[in-house]
Amino acid sequence: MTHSDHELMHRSRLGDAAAFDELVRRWESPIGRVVGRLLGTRAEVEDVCQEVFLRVLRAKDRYQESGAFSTWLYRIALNLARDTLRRRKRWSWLSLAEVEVESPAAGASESIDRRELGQQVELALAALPDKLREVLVLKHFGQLTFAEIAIVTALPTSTVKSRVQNALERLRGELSRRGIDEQDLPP
Amino acid sequence: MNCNEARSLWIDLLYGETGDDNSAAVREHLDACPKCRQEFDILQRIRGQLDLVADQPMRVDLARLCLRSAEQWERSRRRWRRIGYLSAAAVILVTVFLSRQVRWELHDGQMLISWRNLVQEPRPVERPPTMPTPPEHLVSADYLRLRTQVIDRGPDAVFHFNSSDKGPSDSPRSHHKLRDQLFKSIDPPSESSI
Repeated sequence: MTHSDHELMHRSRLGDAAAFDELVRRWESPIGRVVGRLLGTRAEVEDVCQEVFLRVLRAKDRYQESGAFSTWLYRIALNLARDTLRRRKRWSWLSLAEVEVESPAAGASESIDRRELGQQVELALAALPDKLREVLVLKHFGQLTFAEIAIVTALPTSTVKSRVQNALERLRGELSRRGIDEQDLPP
Repeated sequence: MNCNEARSLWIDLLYGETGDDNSAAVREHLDACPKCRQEFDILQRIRGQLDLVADQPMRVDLARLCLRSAEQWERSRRRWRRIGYLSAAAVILVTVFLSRQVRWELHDGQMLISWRNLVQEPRPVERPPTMPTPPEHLVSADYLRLRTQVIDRGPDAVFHFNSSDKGPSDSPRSHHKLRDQLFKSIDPPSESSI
């Protein structure tokens, strides 16, 4: 039986550690995916994810079930990621060597190509302005709807949509600057 | 639907958030307009390209999380305790200060609270000790003695004496004035002249 996020929060407020454990296990991957694309390096991503759930733990007593749990969680993650970016200015000196990519299956040349292409896309993504990258990451990696992103970022939905489209077009420009044309992209 | 209208709905179509009616209209336009079709295909490919970015599996360390939470709680408790001590000290200091500056008095069954004057009255400037003024009878005696002396000394002394002397008077003030003038203008009398 699957419990809702609100229910798990309510139970953890009553002292049920297992409920909080379940909540963390449910959301650690989606949050890690978004924070990972916003920050880039693993150590920072782990710290921020840890901090996100620490804040949830601390705020559980005053949590109100007025909105979706996911938007609340993503807002915490986004704010923490923004703070980290502002503090460390990570992307300004991030080099290709620091981008951590999952190892492909050995001997698969197609996977290696995809891996290199993925690295280039990741660097192109990192080169986007923060405002555009945030909405694109929330949309693509967080799988949020435009309306949810509007709540998380406190922007109008129309602005969110135009930013996502703008981000994709800027990404295309960044990729062509790196010698990757749209013809190279798989359909 | 024209190109601009279709373009404004691309992003919804790309992420499957278009309503059925709009979706059909945009697709119809894309089929009819090769230029829009080409641009939309590029956007689709770039969107697909984002899937190539490797995913980092994330596992939150719950034990560390609980430890950090406990540490933060302890730190917060210490901070509040420190704030409590500082507040108590501040209250004591303010109470002591007020008790020295505020006067509480009970008059006819009524409590009177008044603020002490913090601005101190200026202290009188201490002047150097002046020569004691001789008693009045001595002033008259001096005058007589000096007058006698002046008469005995001759025309020069008379000249000094006459320049300031307005004659004896009964008022003590004129005695003082005369005495001062005489002391200034005439040498002290010698023993032999008195």
